[in-house]
Amino acid sequence: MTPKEAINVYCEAFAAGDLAVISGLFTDDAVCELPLLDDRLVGRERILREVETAVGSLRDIKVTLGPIMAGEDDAFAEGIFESEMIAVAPMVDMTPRRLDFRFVIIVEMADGLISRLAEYLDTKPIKPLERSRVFTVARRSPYWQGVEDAGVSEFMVYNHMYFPMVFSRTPLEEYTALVERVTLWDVGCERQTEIRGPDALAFGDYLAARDLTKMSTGACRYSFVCDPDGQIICDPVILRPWDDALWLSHGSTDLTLWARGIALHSDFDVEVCEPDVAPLQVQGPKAINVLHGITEADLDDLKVYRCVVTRVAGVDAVVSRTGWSGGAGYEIYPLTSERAMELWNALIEAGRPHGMLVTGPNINRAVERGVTDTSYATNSDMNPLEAGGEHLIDLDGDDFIGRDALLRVREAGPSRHTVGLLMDGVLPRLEWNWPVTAAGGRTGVVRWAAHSFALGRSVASALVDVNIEIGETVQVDHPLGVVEATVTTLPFVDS
Amino acid sequence: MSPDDAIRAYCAAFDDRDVETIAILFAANGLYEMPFLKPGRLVGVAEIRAGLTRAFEVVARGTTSVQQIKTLGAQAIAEGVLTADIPRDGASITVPFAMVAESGDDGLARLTVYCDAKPYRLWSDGPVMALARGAS
Repeated sequence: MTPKEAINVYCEAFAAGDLAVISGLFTDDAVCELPLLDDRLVGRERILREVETAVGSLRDIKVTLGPIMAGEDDAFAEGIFESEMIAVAPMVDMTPRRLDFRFVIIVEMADGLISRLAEYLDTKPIKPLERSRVFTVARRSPYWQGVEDAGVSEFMVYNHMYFPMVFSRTPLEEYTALVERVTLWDVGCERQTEIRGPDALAFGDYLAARDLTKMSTGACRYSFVCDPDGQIICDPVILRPWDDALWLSHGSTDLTLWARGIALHSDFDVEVCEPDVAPLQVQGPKAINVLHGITEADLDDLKVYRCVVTRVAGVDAVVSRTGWSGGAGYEIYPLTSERAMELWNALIEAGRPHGMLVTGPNINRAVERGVTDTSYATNSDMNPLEAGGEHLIDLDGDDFIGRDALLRVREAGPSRHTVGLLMDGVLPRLEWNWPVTAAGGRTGVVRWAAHSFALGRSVASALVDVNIEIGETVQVDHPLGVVEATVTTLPFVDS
Repeated sequence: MSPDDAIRAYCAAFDDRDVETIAILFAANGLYEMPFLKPGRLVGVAEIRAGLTRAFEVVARGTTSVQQIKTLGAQAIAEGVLTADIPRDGASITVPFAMVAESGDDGLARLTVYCDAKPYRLWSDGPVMALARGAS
């Protein structure tokens, strides 16, 4: 193949998503230099893997080449790349999210195959920095510089802190890294409500809807904290790292103020505070490999929903085998943020051999795995029985805040339940809870929605009238119109 | 001037910080596209002269090294590396680039530099706000 033919065939095959053709173009040790990727790709297999992710992230790809200037062993061309991104929701005005740019492509050949492919383009316009909505009124995490360097492009405000959610990559790149390799998340906004003192366990048990009295040191529990009406305030992971202390690692709500106020007017012998603990999550099947060499504790022995006080990269920390990926992973809670970037940089280095990506929590994976959080349940007029969490509360044990109200709900039966929806079409961004309607005036709301890469379609979690049954067809009213959806069970995808 | 000669002349003048020589390489309504400039798209000799003057105010030294140039008719594409010192960062940066030149009757009709300007920013963040309480 001539260099000119190689450029033409590569661009045509990329636009068509024809991996078989692309596979036949490269030498075994070919090199690919693409500014849109973090690394220089070496070897045909690695190149193919990245091309597969890239073409799976985009639809309607069009590559237009100018004149190709070819020599005996190389060729140069200028071109225009146009595409629409998959799983990046269009704006509410239906404007699709696109990936369009101009570029120069250069190939060098060896024995009729591409030995080097380089693209030159400016990624600045397609990887915008999100700085326009950053104010001092919300706090930054101590890993701020790290996520900036990693290309953060969108934050959520969560627990009065900036939460890096979107980075300058396609959703499929991040999803693939999470389910096949490993990802690092700055969840410094995931605050701890610390309860410390002789009555820590008893007070935690009174706050949380789940029986904590048998919780051993080193245990973790997922539970709900409810208000006196039985409504969910948040759904924290509760850790007992030390004998005399609990951490309620909570979603976006002022749980420390709530707990402190209750403690002030009770007889429990506890101190309640928000410690300077800014967690990180290392999630994905290779998370253990990343932490192995830099964690003093033997994490092979750490079971799911257990935690250990140890050192990571020389930094005192609690490590728990928990997380928000619906799969393998760990959370690291450094005991102060003084050496936060030291810890971050050590993790970046430890993750490099394993292809670790810095990302935000992966909404696509969370929704398809039925994992919920703030956007689903917190502060949103829902009780644990409606959220599908009856097994996470202990109504027949000790008293807790909200127990009487929940006993009444159990006796009457919940009026709503949580279901999955298999939805038609492309979803816009979920900016409010979309109304759900079904025959007979039955209603509900969509509270989570995303593209499922595993199923190749749009899915959602919804809180609906308890009489809306699995297998029924309902209507969802979202900004792009009214679409049909089939009611199903959660999760959509097993681990 | 052929497009490959125009690229060579541009690079030599860029290394010499010679704004005037670069500006007069272009046709009266020539287009100069350079990601590091703000704006990055300059049209006409006057805009190009003003844009380069601003650029050289923040770049202490810039050196281009062109590895190869290919030409087809009035168009040429070059591959190379730019190294530059930016006093504000106190460091040298190395930026691989490609460059496309199109010659017209009265000078360069277009010179487009393709490089990734994303990694290079001219500012850095201040300290992060202190959090609520001391270590537990």
